[in-house]
Amino acid sequence: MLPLLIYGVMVVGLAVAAIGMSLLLGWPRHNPHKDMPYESGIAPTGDSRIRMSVPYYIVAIMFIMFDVEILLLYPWAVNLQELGWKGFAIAGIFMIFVAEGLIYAWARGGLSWRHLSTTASARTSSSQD
Amino acid sequence: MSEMIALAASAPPAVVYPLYLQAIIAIVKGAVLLFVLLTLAAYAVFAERRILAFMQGRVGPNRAGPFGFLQPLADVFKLLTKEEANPPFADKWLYYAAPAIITITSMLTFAVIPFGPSDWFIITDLNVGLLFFLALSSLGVYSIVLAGWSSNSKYAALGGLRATAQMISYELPMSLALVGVVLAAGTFSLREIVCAQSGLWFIVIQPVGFAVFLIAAVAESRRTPFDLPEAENEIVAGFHTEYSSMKFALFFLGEYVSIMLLSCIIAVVYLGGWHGPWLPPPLWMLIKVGALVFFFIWIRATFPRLRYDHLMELGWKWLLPLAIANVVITAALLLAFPKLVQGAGK
Repeated sequence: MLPLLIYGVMVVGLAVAAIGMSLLLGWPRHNPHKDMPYESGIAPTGDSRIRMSVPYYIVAIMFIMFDVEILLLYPWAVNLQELGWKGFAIAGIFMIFVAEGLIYAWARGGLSWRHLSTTASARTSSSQD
Repeated sequence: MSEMIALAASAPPAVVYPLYLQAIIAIVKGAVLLFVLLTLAAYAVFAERRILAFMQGRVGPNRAGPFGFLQPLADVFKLLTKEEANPPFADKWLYYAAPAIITITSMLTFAVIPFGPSDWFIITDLNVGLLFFLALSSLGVYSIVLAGWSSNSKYAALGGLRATAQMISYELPMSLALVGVVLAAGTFSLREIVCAQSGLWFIVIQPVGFAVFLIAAVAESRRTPFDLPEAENEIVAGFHTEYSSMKFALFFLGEYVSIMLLSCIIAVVYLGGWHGPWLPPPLWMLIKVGALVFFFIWIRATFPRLRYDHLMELGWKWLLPLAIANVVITAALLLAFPKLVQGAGK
């Protein structure tokens, strides 16, 4: 653990030193035009922190689910030879459920851009009614 | 604790040094590794510019020193003395933290990469090295997302959003492909994974897993054909639009260090790490990593950028099912022929 800790401190120190050094060598000089967000040379229109429709928002939920499911596979993977074919059968049943989740999301259109954006827009238009 | 397990597991009878000596050794190893990493990253940028130029019928940077070999040095000094952008519209702390995060996560992972069989070629052989890599590569996403959000610029925000969906999608096939490696090696320690490949490299046992991991690795490094977070002809420079000077350089450094990191991981888990005939082990590792870095550069010269929905489809509809199938087939193969992996840790 000690070498990792020491190396970690060194890496963090390097990153901080790099940013600090450039602050010293190339200190910021402000002027009104520099202090605008870049928008291809024209004056910026409005704030950039607006609510945005992300057509892949379901992907985020699915990522959490699948990531946890994959993590459950790791303990089996390490002990593959000890658990043998019985362990393989159990993990296989588990993986059928994982695959089923993927197929379900796929069939319901959770993986496609167009379907999501149309349902999202349909939902917002119905809520406005 | 992990240190003791690692010491017990390593083949030669390890001497347990007193604590202050351990610290000094760690500092020396860390300093050497950081020096080599920074030099190689700088020269990876130079190599990329020269190779891309060669592939496109141009000359590339050739003025600073013989054949342009001093170009990285010139770049460093130029970037250090450039004016620091300190935009008043940005969220200051996150704006400064974002480039540091990508540098730290990508460089910290090198602590568990074994460059040779002995203790001198690895900072520390964590017994969960592979999980350490996965955890830190997931943390690296924060850098991009926070850079995009804190800049308070529309292009940066778009780049950050794209990066979120892309990188979490490709994290899955990546970790699933690594399940196949763990199946074969029976351990998470990267050094023991290499030891398990003394007979047969894992690319032979699971070529599909290798292909899935390779594609996911290119996507994780956010480079062409998966460079949508910074697609320069759509959203200027994506998440680092508002960055300049050394903070911009740290993003660059982070990108090239992650290329080398992913090359190292691919070499370690699929291509037999330091194993190879005749040449000394660390040299073999260097040759494999160099070839993979060249491959990353070559891809950039060859492929056009994917459309966004195609990119997501590739991750979810092709790589993920393939990775699941790879796990099942690899497990069945290894159970049917347990002698396939010779030097396994167990």
